Amino acid sequence: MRIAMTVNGRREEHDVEPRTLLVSFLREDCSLTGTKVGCDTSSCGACTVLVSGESVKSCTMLAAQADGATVTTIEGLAGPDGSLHPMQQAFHENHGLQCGFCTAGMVMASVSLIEEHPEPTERDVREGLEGNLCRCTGYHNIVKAVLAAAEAARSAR
Amino acid sequence: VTAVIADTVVGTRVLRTEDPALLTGESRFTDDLVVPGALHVRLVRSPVAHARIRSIETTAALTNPLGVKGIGEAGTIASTPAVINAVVDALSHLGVTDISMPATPERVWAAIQEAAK
Repeated sequence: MRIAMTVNGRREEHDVEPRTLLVSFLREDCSLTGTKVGCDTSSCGACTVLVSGESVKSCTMLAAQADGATVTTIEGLAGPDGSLHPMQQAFHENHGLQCGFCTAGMVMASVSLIEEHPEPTERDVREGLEGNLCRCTGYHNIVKAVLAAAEAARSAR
Repeated sequence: VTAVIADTVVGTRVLRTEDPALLTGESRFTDDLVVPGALHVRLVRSPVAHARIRSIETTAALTNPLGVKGIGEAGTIASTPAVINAVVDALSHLGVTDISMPATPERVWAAIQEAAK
């Protein structure tokens, strides 16, 4: 079936099998491999992307369900000049990543989190990121990064 | 000493140079590489912690209708069997063929006594 969506501002239209998952569509048809498949069972959150602004585990959604939607992946966050998005910058400065495999999902989930909770407490961040697993950092620096990004967004206003 | 340290990064915050690629989705992990004709592997692990494998039945796997290219057996987590195999090898001339983990002195002694019978 023919599926079309806007991914990172670009129109992507591909012929795919109806069973194709959104993550496969992004990685294989759009060649956007920044979105990772960690568990394939909606447990780890490595595949988190934004669909019409909301964070979604793309291994749990069919590409067909996102037909016509606007999708943002990790590749679409940085500015056109390559400048990091404030959330990416905060992860960098607070050492919120090590191996980087969970990072795309963590960053996307965090962007959506502070969109919904512009003034999150540490507890809000920990609860909000419950669906994203990281085996390297122990989460502490990720939480610090998200709180720093929320703070930066507030003072930028 | 102070002068030397002052000119180095000791005590200062250092940002990782590998972060930007990881943060923008630019880095490639093995799963991100497209290798034409690549095969996929499925690992089957032992369902028990310690056992002797007498045989492996592969007929069903080899005749899988999805098509299997091959089935192989690999050593598991290498270090533990390597140590146990070394112990068994050292005692093999005494007739010891297996020893349970952990290979405590008591177990080694008992294995030697058992093999001598």
